[in-house]
Amino acid sequence: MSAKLKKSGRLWLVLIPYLLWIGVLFVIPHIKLFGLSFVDHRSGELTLGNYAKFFGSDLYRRVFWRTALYAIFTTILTLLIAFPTAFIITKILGKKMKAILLLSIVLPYWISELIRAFAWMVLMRETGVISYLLQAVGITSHNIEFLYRNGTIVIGLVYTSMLFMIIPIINSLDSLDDSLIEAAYDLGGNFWSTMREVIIPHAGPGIMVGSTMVFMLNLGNYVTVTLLGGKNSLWFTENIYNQFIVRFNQNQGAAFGVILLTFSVLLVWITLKITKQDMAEAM
Amino acid sequence: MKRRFFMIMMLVVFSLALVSCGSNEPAAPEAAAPAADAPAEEAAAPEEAAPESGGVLRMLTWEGYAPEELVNKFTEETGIDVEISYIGDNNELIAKMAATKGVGYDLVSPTLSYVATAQADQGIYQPIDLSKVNTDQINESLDAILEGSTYEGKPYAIPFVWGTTAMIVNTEKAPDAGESYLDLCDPQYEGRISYRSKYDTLYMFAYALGLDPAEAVKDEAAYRDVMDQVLDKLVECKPYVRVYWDSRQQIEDLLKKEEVWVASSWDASAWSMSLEDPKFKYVVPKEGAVGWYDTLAISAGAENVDAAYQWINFILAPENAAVIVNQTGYQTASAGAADAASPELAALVAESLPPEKMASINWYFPKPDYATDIEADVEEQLKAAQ
Repeated sequence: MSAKLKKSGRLWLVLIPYLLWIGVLFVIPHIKLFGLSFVDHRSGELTLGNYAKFFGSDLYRRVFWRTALYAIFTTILTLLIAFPTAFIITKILGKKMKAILLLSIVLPYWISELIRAFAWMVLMRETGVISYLLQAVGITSHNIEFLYRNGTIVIGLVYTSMLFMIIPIINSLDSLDDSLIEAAYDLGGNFWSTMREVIIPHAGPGIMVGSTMVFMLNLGNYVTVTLLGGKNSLWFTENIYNQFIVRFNQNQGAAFGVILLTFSVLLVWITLKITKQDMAEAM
Repeated sequence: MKRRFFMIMMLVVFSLALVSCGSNEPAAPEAAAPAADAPAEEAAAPEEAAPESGGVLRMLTWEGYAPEELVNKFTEETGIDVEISYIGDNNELIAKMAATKGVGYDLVSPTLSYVATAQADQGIYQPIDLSKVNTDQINESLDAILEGSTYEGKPYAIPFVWGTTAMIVNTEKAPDAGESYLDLCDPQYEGRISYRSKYDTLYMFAYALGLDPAEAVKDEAAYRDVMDQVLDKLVECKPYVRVYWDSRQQIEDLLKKEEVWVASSWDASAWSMSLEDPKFKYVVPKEGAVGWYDTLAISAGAENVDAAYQWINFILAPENAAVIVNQTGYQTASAGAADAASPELAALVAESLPPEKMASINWYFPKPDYATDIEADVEEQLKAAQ
């Protein structure tokens, strides 16, 4: 089929939806964004000023690194929770339980991110469910506020992006033949050495895809962070939003966007190099 | 032959899609407009079209400013369908309008202090033709609003709804609060305080510190100096704040759950809280309330100018404006609408805003570009302060 398509030169016809998608929604907006970022907001002249503003400002750099570090930290945390979960689902549970667990992981994502953030607020606010339960059990005698802390942001981000880590890992673990694990044990391996030398290398591409997606989602998150973070929520996306909506400075906002994009692409590229993986292969 | 034709067609479709996305200015909204409308001619000769105008009126406004009840009544009376989009912020309104030079909206409700500056920067409105407005039903604010919205000799806005921002206090938990805006920085209410991290809070604290932002705004350096002092104060107060609130729903919820006792509040929101539970009180401290005036302005890209004027005359009729007053608690520019409002609400308004408090309202002042930037700087630095 595909050889025939190739031969007749019609292969690219099949690609039209993809080309439209990538061209209209990705390439063109990004070229425009890139162009805007080099233009002065008032005079309309070409300038590097928008980038100079970022590198010259303590505030913006601080917020940027805070956002980056939190995104990396939450990605690692998500991985630490997701990997054992995915392992249990694919290798330990029976078919029925597997289906039930998978569904229970996917189900919350049928609801919008905004609503899920509000759900966390209902749980964690001072007069919320967790505070109430703690008092009912007798652990504490007064209301406790769990919201508006850095920890709240972490919980929210890990929860919001969990699915995008679990699914690729399950996918890659599924293709690992159980007999390989048995063989590792037969050859004298224990739990940890089997994990290290057989299972994790096999799941590598899945872990990489999951981590990349989760990292990018967290880096670019806006809703969860602002709602759960409260007065200290500062996230770089908030600065981008401010540039576009509050200050009408789309050029500065574009420059911030390009900086964020460049950083995330670089970080993913470096991680791929360090772990000696190929993006094409991982995907 | 057939194959080549097909491929060329696909190529055409593909490039059309690209082009229409590349020039995102007028193409999209215009395509959505009913083709039979012939908007240009209608705008040129509105009198002739008036008797059976019909069509669609597209509005960009705040929640509560176009209640369903009134929209249905308007459609019944005029045969004009109304489409409404909501905004949460004046800057959002300007950003949306500027993106298309106003095309896609006929009538909008900007706050007065933003009208003339936005017109100067973006040219998104068209001058008001007073001969089409029933000015008899508008109260004494009309002249001041027309003057306040004047750019290059022409007025751009009709007064519509006004309100004040001051403090709401839970009188059971914090009976002594409300004397000054500095009570929003009182350590004894630590963690029980909330306000917005937006310009209205900056003004409140500026007045509380004895500064005059309305005067300082005329000079960039002076305004930055004032706002830097405000920032220092707000950073000092940050530990006592529970959260900077964003929406009316959020702050009302925080107050009802008694997670917050003392907060900044819009008057209408506070009055509706009082009506539900009298322990909540809207108080105007000694520095005076901060006041805003929302207007009706016609988009430069309006396709149904005639319908826009019909709505202006419709919504400011006392019996219609009273519906807004009763539903939202906001006051309107319609002469006589207050008399048609509910007596309970009228009593609260009279109590919170007696004549001397009315006289001390600090109205929003027009802001040059740099002022918006300075305020945004303060907001970002406040958020980042640890």
